[in-house]
Amino acid sequence: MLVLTRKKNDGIIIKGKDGDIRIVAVEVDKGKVRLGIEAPKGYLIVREELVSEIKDANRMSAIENLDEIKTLIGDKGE
Amino acid sequence: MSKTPLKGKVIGFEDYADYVLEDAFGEASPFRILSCNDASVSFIMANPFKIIDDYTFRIEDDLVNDLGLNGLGDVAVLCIVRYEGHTFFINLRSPLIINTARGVFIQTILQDEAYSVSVPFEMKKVE
Repeated sequence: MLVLTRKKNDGIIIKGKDGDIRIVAVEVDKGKVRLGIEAPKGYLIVREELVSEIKDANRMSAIENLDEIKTLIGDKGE
Repeated sequence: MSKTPLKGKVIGFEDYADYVLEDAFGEASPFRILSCNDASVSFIMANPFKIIDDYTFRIEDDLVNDLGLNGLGDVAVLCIVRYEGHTFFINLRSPLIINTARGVFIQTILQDEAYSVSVPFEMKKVE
C-alpha cells in the first residue's frame, strides 16, 4: 500500500483511463480526517466498513437448505 | 412457477455471476428465490416496496447505463432477506437492481444512511 503524508487541503490524484480521482484532506482534527472525493462517473464511493457489513450480511443470508426455507415462507408468507 | 436466468454479482460472492430467479411462492408473493448456478448458494429475495411502506431511492444515471435500462418498465428491485432466530431481516441498504428485459442485475449500495443492511420485519405484515 502506498502511504502519503498530506496536510489540510492537500490532495492526491489517482490518474485513470476514464478520468482522474481526486481526494482532498478537507479537515484533520483529533485523530479524524475528513476527505473530499471527486471521481468520474462509474465509481461508487462508500465507506469500507459498509462494504464489509454488506458482505457479512450477504454471507449470513446465503442458504444451502432451500427446501426448509421454501416451507417456512410458504407456511408464513401466503 | 417461473425461472428467470440472471447475470450479475452479489457483494461478497464475486466469483459467481450466473443466477436463476425463481418465482417459488407464486407471482403475487413478494418473495423470490435467487439461486447461483455454479454453487449451492441461494438467497431469499423480497420486493422491498411490499415490506417497507416508504422505501424510496433514486437509481443513479451510472446504474441506468450499466444495466442498459431504457425505462421503468424493465426495472425490478429485490432485496436480500435473512432468516435468523425466527426473525426475518431485509437488507434495504444494498438492493439488487434488475433489468428484467436483459436479464442482468447489479447489487448497488445506497448512500442514504437511513437504510440499514438488516431491518427486521414480520411476515404477517407482508401482503
